[in-house]
Amino acid sequence: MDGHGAQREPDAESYFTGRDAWFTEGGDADAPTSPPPASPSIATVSEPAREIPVHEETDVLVVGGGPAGTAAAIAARRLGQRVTVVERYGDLGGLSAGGLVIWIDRMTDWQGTQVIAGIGSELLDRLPQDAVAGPGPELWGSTDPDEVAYWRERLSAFRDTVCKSPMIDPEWLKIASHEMLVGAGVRVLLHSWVVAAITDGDEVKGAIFESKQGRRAILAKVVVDATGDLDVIAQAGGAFVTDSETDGKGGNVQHCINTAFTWSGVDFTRWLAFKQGDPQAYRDFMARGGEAMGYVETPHVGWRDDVVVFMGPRLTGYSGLDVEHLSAVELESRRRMVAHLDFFRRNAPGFERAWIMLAAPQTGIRMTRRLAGLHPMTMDDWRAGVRHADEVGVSPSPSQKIATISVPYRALVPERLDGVLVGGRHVASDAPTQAFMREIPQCWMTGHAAGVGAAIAVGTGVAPRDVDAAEIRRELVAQGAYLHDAGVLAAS
Amino acid sequence: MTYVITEACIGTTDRSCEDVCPVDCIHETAEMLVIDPEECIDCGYCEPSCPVSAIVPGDGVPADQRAYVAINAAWPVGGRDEVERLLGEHRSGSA
Repeated sequence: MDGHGAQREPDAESYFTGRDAWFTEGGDADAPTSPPPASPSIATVSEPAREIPVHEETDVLVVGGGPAGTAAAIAARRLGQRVTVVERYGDLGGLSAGGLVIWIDRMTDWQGTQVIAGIGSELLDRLPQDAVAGPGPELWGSTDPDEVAYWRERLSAFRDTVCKSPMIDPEWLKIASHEMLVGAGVRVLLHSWVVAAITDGDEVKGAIFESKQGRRAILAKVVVDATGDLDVIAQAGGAFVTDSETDGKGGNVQHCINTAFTWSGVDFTRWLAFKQGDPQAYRDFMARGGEAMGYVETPHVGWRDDVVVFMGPRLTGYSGLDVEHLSAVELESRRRMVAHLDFFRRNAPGFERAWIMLAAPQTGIRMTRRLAGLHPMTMDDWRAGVRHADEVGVSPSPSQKIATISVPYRALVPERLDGVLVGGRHVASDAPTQAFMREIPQCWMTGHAAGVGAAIAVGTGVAPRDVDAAEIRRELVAQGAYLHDAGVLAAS
Repeated sequence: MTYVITEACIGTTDRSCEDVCPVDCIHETAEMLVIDPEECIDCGYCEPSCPVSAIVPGDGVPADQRAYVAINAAWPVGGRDEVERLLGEHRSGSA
């Protein structure tokens, strides 16, 4: 009946041919998993020393092309330094693109002032109109009940306040990030995975990366570790903290790992009408899903009403640094995605014709290693409303009960190592602070600051730890960043 | 699946979690705080703020704490009364 390529519209049942249901009550204990590795006959092998070609020499080497690395590279280039970004995937944007963290967390404070501005904001402004969905500036800070009710379902209103926290099309963010980098004159190396730091005593002098061409070295005056996992610092023997060791706050926090996913073919308006129009039916739906699958992830509308994003299924008890764990998470996440697709197509109004658009190519890691820095950000500091003299960024606060949060430059600087700065989710902080400093806007913000710090260090010939914070702060404001005293700095 | 407040909250009710919740989905009852699973967006801000590690992700609720999934989920159904009723049932059942 569809002999000439006419599109077939499968019904909910026939989509899953060959199996009655992909969800199994209590989980499918018999489902196969990757067998464990065979016990090796010897514990180690020795790798012969070798000469490694030097691919290039640069001023600022940015390791990682996610939100932090993108902002760092552009910031440093604007100060006239030669900059190279090395990225392990084939695209830029990191978790905000390949990781499908397409919901950009809040960039405004509770009054509607945009406190995370600068390069991240410029990136959003470069997206085509259809590639971003969020309230316009006139609505930021609005407490109008109708606006709040509308934007709440689109994750752009919190605590009865409309915020700048849009949904974006990840493909366009990749494009915008790449164009903005090369447009600024930054060298971009993709498909290149940094595997070792080059050090001289306590100073980082560059990095070695692996690619199809084998191992190559890049020498740099300053390296920005924007890996998200503090890879460069760890490779250089620098100090870090993890939550598997008690850090005084939160102790043994079990961070979730997952492969997020997007579906298309969804009628979000119908879904919303069901959810809001019949709360009891919605509750029954969630309960049935809970019985069938053990849990239900909530869909959020994407940048269009026919796309939804599931920011789970969040799996606990795995380490983002363990390749066996990462492999297991990919399998389990996709199984749960398929179970959800099956259940939603059969039971959720508006999802009858949903199809899998993408399972994130990049695993959703919330936290692995954090920097042991000169001044870690702490909950005690921000609950007390401390404003740091070396403030290089301002984060929105989690609720109206807490003032906007001051981010010190010292949280980007390692305790001991020189020649390296950190931007991204792994800046120095305690666990309650990392909970929001890991978000995409905050990564843009600390990346921006690290890039400025690195470029000034190169330009003045001093170690990053010795750069005059006042100079970094003036430059950040000149580049459009927001600081509590931005007005004063701009006038000076 | 959203975060769940478990037994360790009873007798502590520190409320740091309430202050850091961006969607105001944490509610106080007589003996403990609960997370409304219909409002929670899974951001995870609350988890490390708890001084007694009572907040756990839904996927990681220990077997002996599974009753608290339903106790938290009682909030959107019947508010404080329903939470307290279920908690009472659970405690008399496990006593």
